[in-house]
Amino acid sequence: MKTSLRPALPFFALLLLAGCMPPPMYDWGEYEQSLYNFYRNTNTDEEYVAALAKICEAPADQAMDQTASKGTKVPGPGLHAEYGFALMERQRFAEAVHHFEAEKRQWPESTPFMDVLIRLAKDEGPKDKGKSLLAPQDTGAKPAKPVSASPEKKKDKRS
Amino acid sequence: MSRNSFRALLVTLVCLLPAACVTQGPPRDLTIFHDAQIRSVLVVPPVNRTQEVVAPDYYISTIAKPLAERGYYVFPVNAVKRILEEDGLYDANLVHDADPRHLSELFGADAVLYVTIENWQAMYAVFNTQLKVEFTFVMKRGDTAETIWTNRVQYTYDTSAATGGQGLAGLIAKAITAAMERAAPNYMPFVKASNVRALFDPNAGLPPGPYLDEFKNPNKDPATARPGT
Repeated sequence: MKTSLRPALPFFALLLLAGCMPPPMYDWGEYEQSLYNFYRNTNTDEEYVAALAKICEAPADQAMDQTASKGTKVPGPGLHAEYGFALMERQRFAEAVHHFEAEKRQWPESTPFMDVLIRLAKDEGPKDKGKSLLAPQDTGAKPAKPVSASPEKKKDKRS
Repeated sequence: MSRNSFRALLVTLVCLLPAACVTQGPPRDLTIFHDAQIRSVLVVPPVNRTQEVVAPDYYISTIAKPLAERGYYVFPVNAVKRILEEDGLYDANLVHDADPRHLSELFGADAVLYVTIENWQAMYAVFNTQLKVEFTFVMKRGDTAETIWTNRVQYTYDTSAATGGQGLAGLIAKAITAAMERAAPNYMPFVKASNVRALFDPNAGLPPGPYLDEFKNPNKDPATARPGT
């Protein structure tokens, strides 16, 4: 199968430069590059979200738990969470919850953190402004302010 | 070529490469590390000891992938950074000084990885540019705050080594490369290479994590063998 060899070639090139990293287990898409661009130039945040969408949308549900057998790689750890977080910052709460749940399903280690984010996203309304997300959750009833509050972020171009 | 034989080829190549690029030293004592049974790692924003103010942001985009590929669950680095900032922890120094037990508890992390950017600079001469990056890595156990792994790597890249050629033509080529590097030095390939070196080195690297086959089958990598598994 000629097609299966081709994707590996850039990897071997990278390997020569980097030394000893084995072939990636996970799908990272354009995550690194888009995050770098995002930090470099804040106007590229839609590109960052698009890169995450490409990794985390559609195929994710089928690929889940099926890493090697199908030849489809699951998104790298943290990527569903990054995507959900970016969606939450864009007020797309339901989708955010979906991806936090996906992260939790795929990576049980993320459970406590995802539970906090899911509660946040479900809570939805920007109540409790002053409260810190990281403050100890004494009751767990009224979680934290939405992390979407950051002022310089432009909201939802597409609406 | 069937998928299986392709995989076999890949595995062979991958087994050969580490052998080729690093000399094997005496095995480390990894008892402290293995006792911690780390599955998940929280990477906090790096402390910057350089003049390059953008270095920490650029750096953070490069660490999740190699760390995850080393076999660990890595918390979403950008989300973590944003949350810490929302919480008023803009200063990475404050985060690094905070109690790792507190940080781990907040995110449910087994360990916290602290990276310090020691060097991130370009040194210019007439005919060449030298790029240098250097990082220290400290991993602390989330429940006890004990340091379980450290490493320090540096990567120096000299443009004069990259452009061959003798005589005038070679000098001109060098000058052009140097000028290009000066205009926009791209550190990222060297930052990525530094991460890979820091994490995957069989002698000083991070021992393989639970999502890696070597973790279950330590014979593949004797230097990082996990006793009793």
